[in-house]
Amino acid sequence: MASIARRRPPSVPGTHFRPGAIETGTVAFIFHRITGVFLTIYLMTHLVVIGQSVRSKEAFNAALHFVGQPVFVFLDAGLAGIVTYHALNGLRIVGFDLGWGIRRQKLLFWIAVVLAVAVFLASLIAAHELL
Amino acid sequence: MAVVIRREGAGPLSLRGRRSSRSFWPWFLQRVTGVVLVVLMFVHIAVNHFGNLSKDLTKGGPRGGDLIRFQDVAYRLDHVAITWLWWIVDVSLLAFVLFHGFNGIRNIAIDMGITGRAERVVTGFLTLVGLVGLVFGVMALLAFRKYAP
Repeated sequence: MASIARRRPPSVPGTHFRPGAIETGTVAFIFHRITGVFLTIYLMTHLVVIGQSVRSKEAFNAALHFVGQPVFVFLDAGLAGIVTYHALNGLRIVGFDLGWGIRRQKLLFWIAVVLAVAVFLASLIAAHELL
Repeated sequence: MAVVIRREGAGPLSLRGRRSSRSFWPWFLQRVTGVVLVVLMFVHIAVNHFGNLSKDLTKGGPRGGDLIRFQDVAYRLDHVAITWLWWIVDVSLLAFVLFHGFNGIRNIAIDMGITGRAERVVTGFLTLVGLVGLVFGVMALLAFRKYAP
């Protein structure tokens, strides 16, 4: 829990209303939206790359060889982390919609962040030969 | 500064139910597709990105240093006995992710305040782009059967 000295008390007693503060849930929302837009744009580039199969087998292999370069492998590991955050925060939201986990919402957010970083690092380690 | 607050479902009695009921299915399906995508994405990434890591990936080796090649995908989609299962997984993944992503963009547009006719135009445009993506994606998958190695 954040220290009492750093957090101002709610403006209205008995509520969580702290105008001007950046709440954990707000950060979660912002990250969710940013990762979502990023993933949608990524999806379109992914369809173009994989869609090279329509041209020919050689075109597909050439495209996959191109994105097999180390910089893309690194970016792919980052993508895995981004997907993990978006998925876990999404599950957190669905939990709220079903009435579950609202009291633990901050913890659930931090779990999503930690696991996303973990997946990113694990992907880097798993693909270390390609880097 | 005057602030106009429009309540979902507010308006003349004839329009009240219709306006708020239009938003149920996109809201609901965003969550359904999201939850299913957690599973499908895990399978997709594991099979495609991590599936070949145990093989020989040296540059001079049999695979030429490539993690994924045409043959790997064609094996899943054309030659293996449970190929029908892979087809269900891949086409569902494509349809669900296109819906989930473009509906997300639509949600952002709605949060930015687009209403009425403009909202219907945006929804229609995103639907169209999604359908084009779906058709193109299925064509890309079919190409793995067409160009048999």
